[in-house]
Amino acid sequence: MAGLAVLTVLYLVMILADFIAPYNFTATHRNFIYAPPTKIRFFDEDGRWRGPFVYPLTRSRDPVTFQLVFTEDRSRIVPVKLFVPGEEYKLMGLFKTNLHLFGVEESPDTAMVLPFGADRFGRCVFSRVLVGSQVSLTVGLLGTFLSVFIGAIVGALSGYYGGWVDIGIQRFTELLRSFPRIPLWLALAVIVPPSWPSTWVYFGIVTVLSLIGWMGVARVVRGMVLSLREKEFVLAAQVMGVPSMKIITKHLIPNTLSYLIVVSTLSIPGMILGESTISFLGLGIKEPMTSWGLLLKQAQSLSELQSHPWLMVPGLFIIVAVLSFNFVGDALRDAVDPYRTVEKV
Amino acid sequence: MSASSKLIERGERSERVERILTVENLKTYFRTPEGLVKAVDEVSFHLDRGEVLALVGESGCGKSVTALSILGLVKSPPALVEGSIEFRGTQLIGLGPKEYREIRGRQISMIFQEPMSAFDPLYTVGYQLMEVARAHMPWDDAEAKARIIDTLRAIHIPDPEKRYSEYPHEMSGGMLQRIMIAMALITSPEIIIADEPTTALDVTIQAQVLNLMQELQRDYHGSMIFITHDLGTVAEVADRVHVMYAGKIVEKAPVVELFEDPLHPYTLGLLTSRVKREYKGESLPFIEGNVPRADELPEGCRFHPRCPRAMDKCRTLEPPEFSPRPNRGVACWLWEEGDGR
Repeated sequence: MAGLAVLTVLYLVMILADFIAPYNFTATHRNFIYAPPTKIRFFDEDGRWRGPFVYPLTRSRDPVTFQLVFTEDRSRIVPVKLFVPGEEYKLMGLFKTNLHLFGVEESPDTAMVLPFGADRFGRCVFSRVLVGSQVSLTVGLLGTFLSVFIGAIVGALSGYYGGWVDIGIQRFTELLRSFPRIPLWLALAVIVPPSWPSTWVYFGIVTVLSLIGWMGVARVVRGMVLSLREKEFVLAAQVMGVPSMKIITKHLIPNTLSYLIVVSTLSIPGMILGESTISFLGLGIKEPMTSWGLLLKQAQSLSELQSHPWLMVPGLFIIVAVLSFNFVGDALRDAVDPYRTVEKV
Repeated sequence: MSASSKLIERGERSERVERILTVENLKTYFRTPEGLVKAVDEVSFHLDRGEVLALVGESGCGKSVTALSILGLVKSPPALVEGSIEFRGTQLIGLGPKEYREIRGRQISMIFQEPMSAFDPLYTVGYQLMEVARAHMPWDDAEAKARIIDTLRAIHIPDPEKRYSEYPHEMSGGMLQRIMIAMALITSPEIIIADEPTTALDVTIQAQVLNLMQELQRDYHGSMIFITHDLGTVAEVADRVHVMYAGKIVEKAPVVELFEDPLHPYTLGLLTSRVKREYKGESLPFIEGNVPRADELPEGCRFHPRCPRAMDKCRTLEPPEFSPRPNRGVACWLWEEGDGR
């Protein structure tokens, strides 16, 4: 249940990402390079309630370590407000607006609200995580849908026709399964030409992920269809002159649906991780588009992590999303398991 | 109505007999790793319009495979189907899949043994009836639905509109079996193959379903191949009976004659092992041994290891079909010359 709630929140935030994000995810702010997460305060120096506000930051270099340090300028406060006008964007690609859920009514040259800090171009990590979720969370859904689709059809054909068709398809899937996964991903991802626009790259990655993910589904669906096709209702449909394709699509595949739903939910995390892996290794989603894996790429080196730990935040999101999908998948699996003993309360 | 009076009535009704199905030398062999399995071996029979032909035999003697061979649903690469199946002038063996689909369900339909598993649990029975109707008949949805509900009413299903939108699990086995009969009837086929339609039902429901089938058979005047191992139901519904043993037809007879004067020792064995009142207190007579497995058929007559009257000839030579009396056929060496009594 908690998993489902978390997922709902994540997907809602994903849909409204541009609105919730205080800044444009590609906008650079040279005064806030590697700025740490801003503390949102409610009480000023004298302990008086001032509502949520931030202090403007001033940047300087540490004379000894030569690192950038940010100090709060406590002389004035910058209130954080709801529904502040900022950069223009199109909400869900439809409505042109410049309202953001929260932010400061001040130029990003002097003060910013950065819940997760900023990266080395002074881009708001929070905004980037939100926008990145649009890639990371939908890659899982689309990729799983596609791979389950391919898997169900291939598996059903294999199981229904049997004989040489079955042997051919099974040996082929075994061949594909025996490749090590990550190198195969990378090899396929390299095929995606770098000149492609980022939306194409996105679909390229989805295709790559699902081309490698369907084999497990195909195997199980084949097994289920092998047992289903011996059921009398399939024979009855054949006797009554229903065409084979209709038997497969209307009777065999729908009867495996409970399995397909569970396996989809359980394979979404794999897809999310796969996309993160490819992007982390630099072969997936490319700038200016972003995804959680690509964001993590910035946190590759230890020194980077030590001085700017907030760059790890996208990783937390990956963990939360993956865990939630796993929990929901487990719950679904238990729910459709006919052998589960029902505990009476 | 007794079977004999029905025979007479039919004789009066149709002067000209129309032969609707002729099966000649049908062989259905399965290639398995253990060797060739002769599930149906040189089976010949025919079916006239309006007639009920019963195929009787123990489990595994090839009754159902014969039915599936007629429908072309024996998976062809591992199985060999040879011989001739002529349905109203069309040779069914070697017919293309598309042409076969036109015949299946439309002209020849089938009723199955297990009504509970013969429906897809995911769809309403109405949907599944509709699927058959729409596959074959030029009706639009509204007309198809009206026809389906009429058919359901014709088989005495109470409240057919409500039943139409119910799922298989909401119905009893007897109800589903009747709906399956409706499904077989919806396209008004020439032949209905009923594969042990009453075996899975309670005895009381069996009687209901049998009565219904007799009634429909009378009204629709279609032909039926009735597959069963229950001689009691044979006596009730059939006009002619073919007894099968290990993939072969061993005896052909009109139903009354079969019961009064069985020719083949196997038929005799079957008839004497039925429960009768005279046997009270004694153990039932039975036929020694089992039906041989189709991949380990004995040489000669397939029944000889179990036959009380087996001769030397029976162990080496397969008996052809003899016809010691009009309308009778028996595959047994006892009847080679005249009387085998």
